[in-house]
Amino acid sequence: MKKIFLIIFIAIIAITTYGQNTSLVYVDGWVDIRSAGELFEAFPGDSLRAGDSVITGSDSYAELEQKNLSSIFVEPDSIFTIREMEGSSGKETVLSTTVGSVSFKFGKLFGIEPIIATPSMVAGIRGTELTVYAGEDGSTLIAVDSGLVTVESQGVSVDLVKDEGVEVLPGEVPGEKFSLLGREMDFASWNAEKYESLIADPETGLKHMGNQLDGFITEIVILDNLLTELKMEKEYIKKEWQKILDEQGKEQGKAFFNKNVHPLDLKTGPLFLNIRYYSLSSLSFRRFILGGLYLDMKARYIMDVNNNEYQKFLSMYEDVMNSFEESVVPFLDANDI
Amino acid sequence: MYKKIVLVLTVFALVMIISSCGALLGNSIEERVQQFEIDLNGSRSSIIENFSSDCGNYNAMNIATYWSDNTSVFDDDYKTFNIVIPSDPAETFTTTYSDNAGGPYNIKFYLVNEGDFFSGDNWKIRTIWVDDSVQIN
Repeated sequence: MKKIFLIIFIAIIAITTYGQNTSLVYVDGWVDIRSAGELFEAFPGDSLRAGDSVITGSDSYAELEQKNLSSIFVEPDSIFTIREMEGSSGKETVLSTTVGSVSFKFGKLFGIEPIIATPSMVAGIRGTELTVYAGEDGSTLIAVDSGLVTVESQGVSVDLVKDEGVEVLPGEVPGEKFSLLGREMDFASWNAEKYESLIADPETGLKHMGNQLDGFITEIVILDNLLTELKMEKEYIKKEWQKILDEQGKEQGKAFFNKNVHPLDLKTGPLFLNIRYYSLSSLSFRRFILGGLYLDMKARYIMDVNNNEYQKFLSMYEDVMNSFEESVVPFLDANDI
Repeated sequence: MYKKIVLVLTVFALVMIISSCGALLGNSIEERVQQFEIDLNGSRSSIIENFSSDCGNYNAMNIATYWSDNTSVFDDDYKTFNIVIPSDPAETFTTTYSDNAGGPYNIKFYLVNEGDFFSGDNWKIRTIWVDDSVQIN
């Protein structure tokens, strides 16, 4: 009986220590560990797993040790993260310094060297962490925490790596990418600034929004034309199939179907879903971005409905809405609204 | 003491009743794929319920025309669909299906368990590949 308990105890220890290669050996001041999206105060003896970050403040410091005798010194005002990536020889540990200063001392017994990542050396990392800020004016700000992200708008792509960001105005190509280091991301002020410039010139803002919607509509039209062509081809081939079924029997019909109709079906399904994707994106844009601007403008000019600028805005808004009704609504149904 | 025992037993019985009711509502992987097949061959009005709302295409396919129109490999005209469901399938498994028009085709399912302690297993379809081509994701 005692043996069973011993085996269970050893098994529990083995399970709980599995994967814990790095531990905190010294902490000076207040140091945080960010694990699974939550912050914890760090204490000596805490273990770190892949994905965990050590965050030091302006007057704190931490030392880490790995089982293979390497030491890591995290200086004040730094963010240090242990990551894992798939390398040519399997999983590789990445010791990543997001910001600040970190020193490394590797022991003699160290086997496979880990990868030391800096903000300019992360393209190879698999998996991506990014933050998307969507502003009330339809602008988007993307900030990448790790991995490689390709941002595309209006047919132009920008590759972002760790600690890079880019802003995309509605209906425009992505702007110049920028570094996130030393830049505090404050969504509230970014969003307020964007909306203020929109309200200062609603006609230009609406023009950009119209371009964005036109971008969605163009995709819908291209895909719908393709789908219509494929469906016509399918109908034509199905008639031939019916003829073969009648004249040559079920087995011949089946062989003809597998070879000629089924490949078309494999293409039409995803095409239809892509059309729906762009239609739903348009609906969301119309509802939350265009709709929000329309309501705000209506409230602002409630006492001055004949104002020239407001009337111009309304006329432009009607054109955008007509385009939406004509090209997007046919692909929507009650479930979407 | 007697009252405490009754109270503990009552709570235990309630938990058992709730969890067993939930378990009746849930679905194993096998049952989910069977239900999908039944819905494909039936009215299709509730077919969306076989899918996880985590599917990227969930909203896109939540429209009657996708299931009733001659748009996909699951064309309504091809009834009856017959999916060969292996016993005790894994969360990702490949099998074959045929329909009234042709086949057999390779079909691969990836399911996720959306159940919890009270509902029991409730597997939902997350991705479907047909002949290595992603059809629903």
